[in-house]
Formats: sequence, C-alpha cells, structure tokens
Amino acid sequence: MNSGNIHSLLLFAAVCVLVSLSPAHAQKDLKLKEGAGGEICLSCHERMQEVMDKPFVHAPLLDGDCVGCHNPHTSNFEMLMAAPAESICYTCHDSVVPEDARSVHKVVVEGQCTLCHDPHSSDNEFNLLKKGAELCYECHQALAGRIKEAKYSHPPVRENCLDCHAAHAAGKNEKLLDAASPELCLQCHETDKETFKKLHRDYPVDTADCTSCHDPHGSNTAAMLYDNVHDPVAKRNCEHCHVSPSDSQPFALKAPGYETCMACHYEMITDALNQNNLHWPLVDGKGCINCHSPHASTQKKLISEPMLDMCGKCHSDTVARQARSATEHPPIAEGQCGECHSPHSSDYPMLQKKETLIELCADCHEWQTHTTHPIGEDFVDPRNPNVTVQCASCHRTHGTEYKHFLYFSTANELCVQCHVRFRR
Amino acid sequence: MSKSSILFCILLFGCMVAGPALGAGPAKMKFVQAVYEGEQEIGLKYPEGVACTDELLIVADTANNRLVRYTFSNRTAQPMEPEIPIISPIAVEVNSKGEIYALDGRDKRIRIFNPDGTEKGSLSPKGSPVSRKLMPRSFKIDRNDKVYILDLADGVVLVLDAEGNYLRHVPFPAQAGFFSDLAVDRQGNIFLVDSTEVAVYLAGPDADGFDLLSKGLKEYANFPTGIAIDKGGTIYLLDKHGGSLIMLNRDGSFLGHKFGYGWKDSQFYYPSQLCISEGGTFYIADRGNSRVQIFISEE
Repeated sequence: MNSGNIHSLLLFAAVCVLVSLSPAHAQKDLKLKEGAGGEICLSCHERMQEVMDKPFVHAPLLDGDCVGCHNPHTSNFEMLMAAPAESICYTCHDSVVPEDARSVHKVVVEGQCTLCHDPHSSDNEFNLLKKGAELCYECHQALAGRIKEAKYSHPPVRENCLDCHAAHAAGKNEKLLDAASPELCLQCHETDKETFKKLHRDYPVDTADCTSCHDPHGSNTAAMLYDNVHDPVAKRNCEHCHVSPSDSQPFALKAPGYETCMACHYEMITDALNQNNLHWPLVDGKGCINCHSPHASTQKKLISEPMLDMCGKCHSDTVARQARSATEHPPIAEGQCGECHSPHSSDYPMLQKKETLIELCADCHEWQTHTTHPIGEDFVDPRNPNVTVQCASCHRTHGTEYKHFLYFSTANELCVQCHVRFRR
Repeated sequence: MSKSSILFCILLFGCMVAGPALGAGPAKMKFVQAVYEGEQEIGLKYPEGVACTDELLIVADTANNRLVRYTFSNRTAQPMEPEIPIISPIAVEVNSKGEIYALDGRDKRIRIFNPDGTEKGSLSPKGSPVSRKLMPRSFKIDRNDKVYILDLADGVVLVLDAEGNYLRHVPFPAQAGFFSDLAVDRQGNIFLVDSTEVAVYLAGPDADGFDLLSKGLKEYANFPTGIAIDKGGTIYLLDKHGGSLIMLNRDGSFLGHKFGYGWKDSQFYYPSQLCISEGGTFYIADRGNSRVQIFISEE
C-alpha cells in the first residue's frame, strides 16, 4: 500500500468518526423517545407545568429542552445540573460581560445568576425574582436604608436602579454606570436655565462631576448634597478656593495642593508641617484632597469614603493583614485608624498619637498598666539592647495569622524568643 | 575546527554577550555587624537613613536628632566624633568630597555639612522652573555629585549639579501610587519605587519621563520604602512592612527575596532605607529595631 492510499484511508476513517459523534447520529443510536429532551420530564415534574404558566419563561424550558441545563441521569452538581451552577448560564449567555468591561457586578463575576434570576420562569421580565429596585435592595441593604430614609430623594433611584446602572457590566464606566457623570445626569437635568446657573455661581458645572457635591442616591441635605458639606460650598463661596468662573480654567484652584486649604486651615496645616513625621500625601500635588472630599461627603470631616476603605487604598497590605488575622482588633476592623494614628503628622514613629505603644494601647487596654508582663523603659528586650519590652514585642497590632495577634503559633514558642533558657 | 569546538565558541560568545546584559545577579549577603550605638554610647533610636562609602557609614539617627558617622574597615564599624546635630533626619547622603547632605524631617530642607561635621548651609535649587516650595521625600547623590531630589510638591525628580544649579527635572508618571525613594545607577538611570502599588519606574539619563519597569510585586513585597542598585545592576527594594529585601534584575524581573520580619540578626522590624557601597557592603537602617545592620557581599 503506498502512502497516498494510507492518507486516503485515514481521512475516510476520520470522517466516519466525526459522523458517528454528531448529535443526530448519537440520538438515533440512543433510541430516545419523542420529547426525551424535556416534555417527558413534565410527566413526573408536574409542578413545572404551573411554573410554565408564568408570563416569563426561560427559553429552553419553553422549548422543552430540560437537558439544556440538567443531566437526566447523573451529575456531580446539585439539581442534576449539567455543569457547575456558577458557569452553566455562560454556556448560552456568553456575551453578558463585554470584553474589557470597566466594571462588572460581583454576582456576575461569581456566577450567582440565580440571586437575581429564576432559571425557570417569573412574573417579571428577564425572569427577575423581584421588580425594579426591590431586587437590588435584597443585597444592597445599607444603601436601601439610606435611599428610603433620605429627606431629599432622587426619584429614579426609588423606582429603578437600572435607570443609571447596568445590571451585569459596564463597558466604559465605574460602578456599573451606563454613562459617567455629568453625561448621565444631563440625560435628565437641563443646565441652561438661569436658576441652575445662578445656583452654581455661573461655574460651568455641566462639564464637572456632579457627584463631587450631590449624592445621587439622595440625602438629608437640601439639593441632595452629601450630608457633610464643606462650609464654602454650603455658602456658595466657590471663589474661596477656585479662580473666577470666567477664567479659561474656571475650576482651577487658587493655589496648588494643600496651599489652597491653608487660606482657612492655616493653623492646622502649619501645625501638621511642624511635626517630625509627616503623612506625606498631605504635601504632594493633590494634597488634602488625597483623603478629603473638598465639596461634600457622606463621611464626617469630609473624608472621601469610610476610613478603612480610604486608608486601605494605599495601605492595602495592612488592611489585608487585619482581614486575615485570627483575632480581630476592633479599631482596625471597624476602620477607626484615627484611634491610634494621627492622620496628618506626628512627632512619634508610625504617626502614632502617643509617644509609646504602651501609652497608646492603654487607652483601651487599661489593665495592662498594672497587671501584665514587665513592660516599659526599665525592661530591655533581651534580643536587642536598643529596644525595651512593650506591647509590640509580642503582638503585631494589625494582626497575624495567630490568635491575639501573637507573632508565633503558641505562647511557648513566643516566650522562648526571649526566655531562651526554657527553650527545649 | 570540529563541531564541538564551534559549539563551544558559540556558547562562550553567548555568555560574554548575555552575561553583562542580564546582570551579574544578586550578591550573596553575609551578616557582619549590627550597629547599636554612636560614639557617646547613646543607643540609636529609630534610624531612618544611611549613607555609605567603602570606608564610611553615616546614620540618620532620627529620633535622637543627630547624624552619627562610623569608619568601616575589617568588617567592623567604629563610631567617629563629632556627632552632627540635626532635627529628625530622615535621609542622608555623602558626596565625593566627603560633604554630608541630610534631609531635615521637620523643616523639609536638605542641609549640607562639611567633612569635619560643621554646617555648610542648605541646598537651595538655583534656576529651577518648578514652582512650589520644595518638599523632598528622599534624595540621592551620584558619582559626579549630581543631586537627585524626590520632590513631592511638584511631583518631579529634580536634578541639580554639585553647586545646586538646576540641570533638569523628570515628572513622576501619571496613574502611579506613592513614591518613597529613588536610586541612581552608574549610567545615570533614575529608579523610583512606588510603595503603594509595589512597582518600580525607570527614567534613562536623558529621558523626560518615567516608564514602568516592574509591577505586580505585591506577591513579594508589602510596602517597599527603600531602593538601591548594586554595581552589577541588581535592584534592591527594602520592604518596610514585610521586613525583607526584594531583588530584581535590571530588566525589572523578580530575582528573589531575603530576610524577614523579626528582632534577631538578619531580621528587620520596619526597616526604612538601605545603602550599597561600591565594594558591595550593604547597610540597612533597621528603624523599628533601632539599629543598622551591615552585610558584605560574597560573590
């Protein structure tokens, strides 16, 4: 047999294998009954008939294609699913998340589609479990509370979150927004009215980010400003900080970085700059607005977001350490970084509020000032002549993988670091 | 010539070409001494900065408000007199004339001291186009006595000559995190360490901007605040929160890491800066342990 004949034979065999593997051929071979893909299922699963009477039914179910999602014989997954629950929907709905999406809904990433959708049928469009915002409130409870209690509410928010947000993913915007501010806001709000211009002191705010002052989810402050408003904003004294609205760059600050803020907060900033240890972002190009929102904020002291989130933007390793810690240290876990650290500057290391850790920790752990292992200036750490025994000799304040944020897994292992004669 | 001889020649040539390009690799480091006190037997307290030559070590003894100098010979550091008083020094460098530059942490000024310890004055940039009051976070001096200042206020690395005259400035890269330290190699390349994003940026000797050299290092480092380059081109990052030393190839690729968190020799507790001498001696300001640890390289 020459090589040409061998190649022909191999090609023929391959075609035969492919034909035999095709679904039609397989079904014929399996001698399936009519309706075996789904209609037969309903003969036992009678409740499904009732399910199918709902106005919105998942297309495979409507087509009698139960085996589109379920394996009729056996499965490694609950409910005889044909694939893991977190990925099975993507076998058909593979374009839910656009390529290079800027933001994706967490539940979509996790494949928890059934948190929002009923896989069989629903009274709501898109098989949603609930209508409108009520569905979103199931998870976003804190935000729901704020929205419901807001004295000044934003009507679209009460009605339907999807007026502004995409349910699955946003191709170009953060926070699943359909468009960024101000484009999104300008879809409803007209900015060419005289009243609007007057209220905004003739600054061209239709080119600025509306959410730097206004809380899109509603607030308890007039004009839906965030509840903590910077005094110049509340008094509409924009020119305290910004150049004139007629300037070619009307939103430019009068001075760079912290120097703008010094006009009012001179004493505080000067005091901060005169300490030995500075929180360096205070003096960079952005200055105070690295951490503070200059117009208004949901947080006290105009901090731009909850402290744990804000500090965690730069100090993610420290926040993560607490998250992994076997024992929670409440001030850190609750985002009260300012309980121990001075956020602007300090004369003490690590921007501590007090000179020694012993003093600092005693603010909460008072008992350690009278009943504890010997600590303080009179007790030199046996491992290092320049260090005295103090709280951090045994505990890592932001947490460790061991209980009570000890450095070692057992007390014995910890103690023999210094008490070496007891080492086994 | 036989085939094996030709193959050997090709391999040899490849090694000659690729060897220097890839760098000599990280030096093996051997602990030789931990420095705990100065001449007056006053223990160091939270030292943040170190400067070095092959014979000299200068420590910014931050919480004691002083600079302490040491001779270094026979693998031993011996304190020198006099100590130099300065409020909260946080970085220190020495130029080819033995003049000491120290960053005063409270005034945010770079003060200059003569080799005998007397004060010469403050560094005041002349002819600089950058507009704001200088806010140096760190600085370095190269072999030609050029001064490179990490200026947070204007977001630039400002390059001055030995007399303080403006030479050029290189803006920080946009979309970066926070820069804590810089390093300059023999060729005049400037390296920046981004502490929050755990990344390294590079600007060539004539570049007008920085390019990302290495990113995605969060797996290896927590919050690096110090950077130095050895003569072979290996980049060293000092991880303040992790207490370790991260080594990168000159192309930014990860080479390895040494040391760890602790109190014993060769362990660090919130270290802040490092200096590598021409001869390959490593001096590390072990701030939280109130000491400086010295290592020699064994190639």
